[in-house]
Amino acid sequence: MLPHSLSPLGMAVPLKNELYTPILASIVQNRLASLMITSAAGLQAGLVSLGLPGWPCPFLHTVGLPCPGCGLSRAIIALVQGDWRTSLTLHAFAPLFILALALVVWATILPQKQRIWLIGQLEIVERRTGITAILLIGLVFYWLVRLLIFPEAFINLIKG
Amino acid sequence: MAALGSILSVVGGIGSLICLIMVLIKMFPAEGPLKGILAIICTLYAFIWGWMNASRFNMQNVMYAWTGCIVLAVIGGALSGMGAQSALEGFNSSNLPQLALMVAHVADLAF
Repeated sequence: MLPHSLSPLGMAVPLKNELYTPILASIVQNRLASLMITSAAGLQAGLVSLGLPGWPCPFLHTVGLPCPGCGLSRAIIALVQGDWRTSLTLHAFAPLFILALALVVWATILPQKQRIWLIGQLEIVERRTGITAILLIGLVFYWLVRLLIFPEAFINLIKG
Repeated sequence: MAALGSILSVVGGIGSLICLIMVLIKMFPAEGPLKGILAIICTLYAFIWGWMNASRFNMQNVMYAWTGCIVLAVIGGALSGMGAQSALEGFNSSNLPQLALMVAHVADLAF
């Protein structure tokens, strides 16, 4: 008989713990990190909306294949401009990333007391639902489906 | 110009990918697999995390190299774009007033 740590049940416990680990809460806990993410996202959005070269994707530049996050900047800008169709065609996870970015921005500017409350609430939601982990894994599946089932259309769409 | 831009872009891209992998190697054990996945999806997060933890993991050189590669890739991308513009519209790069007009036109469209 396998020891508990090697049995399927024993391995499922750390996996479950990993899935329910707060990710967004741990990122916004650091105000400097939140500030840097906010600034970088603002700069990227500004550059992309002006049609200037923004953050270059190392995967796309080197291998020629889009990464799971490719197209997100343009999708977010299209969504902000009210162009739902283009946004969802470019990247279906854009609304969720806008929500996550809004939380990061909010956590950056909030006073310390409210910030701690927000981080606590985020941590509770993430620990109870594992929502961030589920969405991240979903995003990887979404990317795989686009890459394996519609490769040509996906690559052409991202390369513009 | 476009060819030079493409070369710079590819060199910057390869360098960036190597640096990203080096940061991910440090990041996965330190932060767990989910943040690692987030860093693959959003390489900008890996870059920020890398700079914030550069001294902790002794990877300042990797981060300087990555920053340099990004600058190269951005310059390469801009040069490729200018080359494409030149090929499409017969743009003469020595004619700076035309470039200024084009920038003004882009700014006009954007705002």
